[in-house]
Amino acid sequence: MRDMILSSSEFRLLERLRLNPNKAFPGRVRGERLTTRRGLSIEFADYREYTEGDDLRHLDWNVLARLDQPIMKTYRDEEDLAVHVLIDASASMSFGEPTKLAQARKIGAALCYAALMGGDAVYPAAIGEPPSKPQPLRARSSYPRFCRWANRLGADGTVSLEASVKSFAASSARPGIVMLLTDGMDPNTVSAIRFLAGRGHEVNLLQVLTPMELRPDIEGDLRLIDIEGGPPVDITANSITLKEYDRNLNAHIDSLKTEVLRVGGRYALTTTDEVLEDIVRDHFIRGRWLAA
Amino acid sequence: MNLLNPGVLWWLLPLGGAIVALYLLRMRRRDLQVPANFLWPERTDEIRANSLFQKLKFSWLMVLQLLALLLIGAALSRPQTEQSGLAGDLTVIVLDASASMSASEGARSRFDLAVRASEQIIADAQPGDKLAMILAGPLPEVVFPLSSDPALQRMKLRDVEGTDAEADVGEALRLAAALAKSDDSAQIILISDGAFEEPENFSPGGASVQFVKVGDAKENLGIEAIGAVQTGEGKNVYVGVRNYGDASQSASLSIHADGDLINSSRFDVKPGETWGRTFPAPANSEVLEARLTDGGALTADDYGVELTGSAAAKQILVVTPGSPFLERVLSLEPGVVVDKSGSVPDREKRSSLGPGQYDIVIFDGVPEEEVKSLGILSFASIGPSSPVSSSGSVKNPTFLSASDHELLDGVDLSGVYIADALRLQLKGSATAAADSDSGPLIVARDGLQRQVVTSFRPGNSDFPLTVAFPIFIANTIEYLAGAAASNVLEVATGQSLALPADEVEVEAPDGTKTTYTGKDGRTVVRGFSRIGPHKVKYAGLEKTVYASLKDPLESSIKPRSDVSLGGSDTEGTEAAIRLMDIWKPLALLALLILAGEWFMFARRS
Repeated sequence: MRDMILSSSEFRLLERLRLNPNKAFPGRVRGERLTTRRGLSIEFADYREYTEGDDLRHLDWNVLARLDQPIMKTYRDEEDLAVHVLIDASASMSFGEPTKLAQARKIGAALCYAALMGGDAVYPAAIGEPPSKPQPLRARSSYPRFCRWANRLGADGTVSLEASVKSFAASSARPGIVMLLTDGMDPNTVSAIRFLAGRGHEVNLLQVLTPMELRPDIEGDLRLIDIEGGPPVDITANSITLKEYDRNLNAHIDSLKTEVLRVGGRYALTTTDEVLEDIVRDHFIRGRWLAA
Repeated sequence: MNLLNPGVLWWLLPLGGAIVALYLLRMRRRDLQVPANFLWPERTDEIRANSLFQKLKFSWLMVLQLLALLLIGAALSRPQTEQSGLAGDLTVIVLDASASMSASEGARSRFDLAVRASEQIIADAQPGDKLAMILAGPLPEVVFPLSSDPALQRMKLRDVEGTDAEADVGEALRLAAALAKSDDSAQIILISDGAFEEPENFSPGGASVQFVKVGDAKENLGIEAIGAVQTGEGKNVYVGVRNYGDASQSASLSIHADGDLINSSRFDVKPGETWGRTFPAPANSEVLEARLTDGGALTADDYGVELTGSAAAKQILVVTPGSPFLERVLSLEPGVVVDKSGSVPDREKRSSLGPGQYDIVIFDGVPEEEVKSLGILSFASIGPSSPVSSSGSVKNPTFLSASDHELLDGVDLSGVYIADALRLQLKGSATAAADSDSGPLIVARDGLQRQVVTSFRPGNSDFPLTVAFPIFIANTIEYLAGAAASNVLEVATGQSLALPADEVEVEAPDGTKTTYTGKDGRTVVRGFSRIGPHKVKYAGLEKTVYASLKDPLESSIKPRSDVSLGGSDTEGTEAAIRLMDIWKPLALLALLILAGEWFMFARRS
């Protein structure tokens, strides 16, 4: 049986929600999104003086009758939104029960479903893997394709988060909203966010951590081995060390959050033990990531 | 700082090394895979099991453990600090009153400084502390017994005086040890300059002994020798002056004959050397005195005296295979010089030519021979010139009666047990001074050569154990000396003199008079504590006793930094000190550090 990642109740929850980007993006096909580009659509945008050659169907006859002055009505164009769902598939995402990757996959599926329901174009991509040319998913019927892609993901990426994100940003991906689902366990994550924003993307970062990462329950003399490589670190896990780790983690989270907000995006932190309904309610709806 | 158990400190090195070695062991760490380690601080407070060696890293835990070990080791070594005051509840002060203590230390004497130190000890005593003081003079004297009355102690202390005599510090210390033995924490404080012979048979027991050193002066000249000799050119007196100090000194010496100045001389003497000179003296002079001016810090040794002619010391020869009682009594007798021999030297025999050297010859356990001396004392020894003959021996003769002969002045023979005696018969003009149920016990014969014979040897009776024995010997010497007996005597300062009287008045050179009372017709004048002539009046007689100090140990006044007491060297201190145990605060500090170390360990683990 095909794994649809989400349960039926979660589908029902998401069916009435749409992505709510902070800013509008030009689309390639007519969709359900308003674009800043003035065009011929049905939603009024502004007035301008008539110039020769204009389509007289958009002349405001009422103004002409009252003021005897030809004024043209302009409309905002309605286009589809490019939604890039970037799921971190690096080795560090294999931690937790369920794993951070599984949690990110589920959240990504939820966002993808909401985007598809809103008529947006979803571009799934894996962080930590070599870059590929993703094909857009459109319409709810494309959701199973997302699931097949997502279920194939394993936490075995070998490319760093920074390098992978920069590679994505440097590609010809349409500017749109980036749903970055990662644990952010890369000291250069801030740089990656800045790079994404610099390419015109709206960066929405959902940081997925395990409860163990937030409150480590370790003691004794340990040699910490980074699963993504690098020299090991010898520590004595005592109250002093744990306090210092806590300070470092909070500082790192704060730096991510600050950078995301600075570039006009959104930030949320969740854990692997938080259920999707709570995430949607507490982070996405309350944080206006999704709107009804 | 004093350590009672310094050997413990040797353990600090291996134990400290063991602690450091533990920190040299490399930590065996458990591997733990984490998503990322850049958030983790590299803190390696190694607190648990180790394996192989590594480079030593700084660790506060190690520092605290080493510090705690150091403190524990220091506490176990029982450190003590010196503080002024008394250590125990019971303290016996031994105050040296010897001649060297009268040395001048600026405006005050060394003895005055010692008294002041004693006052300070009394002032430092806590209420309830018991103090006693013994004055270490020629004879030990208890200044005040054990008491807790500072007022009484101060009052008694005001009356103490130094002497110009050699002190029996050993006897004073033995007496102090006897007083202190009742308390294990007792303390004996000797206040002295350390110029005394090492005490024999002194054991402080459980008491601690402290030596409070007084005095700094060391420059001193002393009359080392004075003697008169009759030569073909007349009578001469020789005087030797020794420099006991560290620097050359100049001094003046004056010679007096029977109180008249006959010569004087100014001289220099180098340190450690003796200046000597012979002076002519009047032929008929009896008392020759030498007085030193500018003789250094000690004046007690600036006086010497030599009696000549009839006043000269009596030369006594004891012919005996061994008679300890007799030799002991004679050594204490003033005005005599005693030699001992197993047989009569040829030149003393009457058959030889020339004059004899000895005034009196005593035969004890050796057959009497004819000798040239003025008098003969024979103990159960009969010879050809004896005033008695013997007709065998008797067992346990019992004393019956005594005549009023001067030999028995102050001598009570009743109750004297005699094991063996000769049965004597009088010959010629001999008279029995004492009789027994088996014949004469003591016989005397007057004449050109006086003789005294006893029918028993002192060793065959308990006579030497009675107080009558030294009196009998003194009476006999005076009787045998006969016309040679003089009204002048020479004694060493501190020497006692037993006189046949119930009361004796002694007028010291400074004019102070002291009356001594005795019993049974015998009075002991306990020590002539000052140098110079003392007028002694008793039983209608008057004698002049010249006391002088001839003791190189006392003349060598340089204070000793430490003295040997009870078999161990005791270092001198400036004041009475008490040793305070400080192991308790050290142990407490070690405990606090260990608590801190535990707290740090708990925080880090």
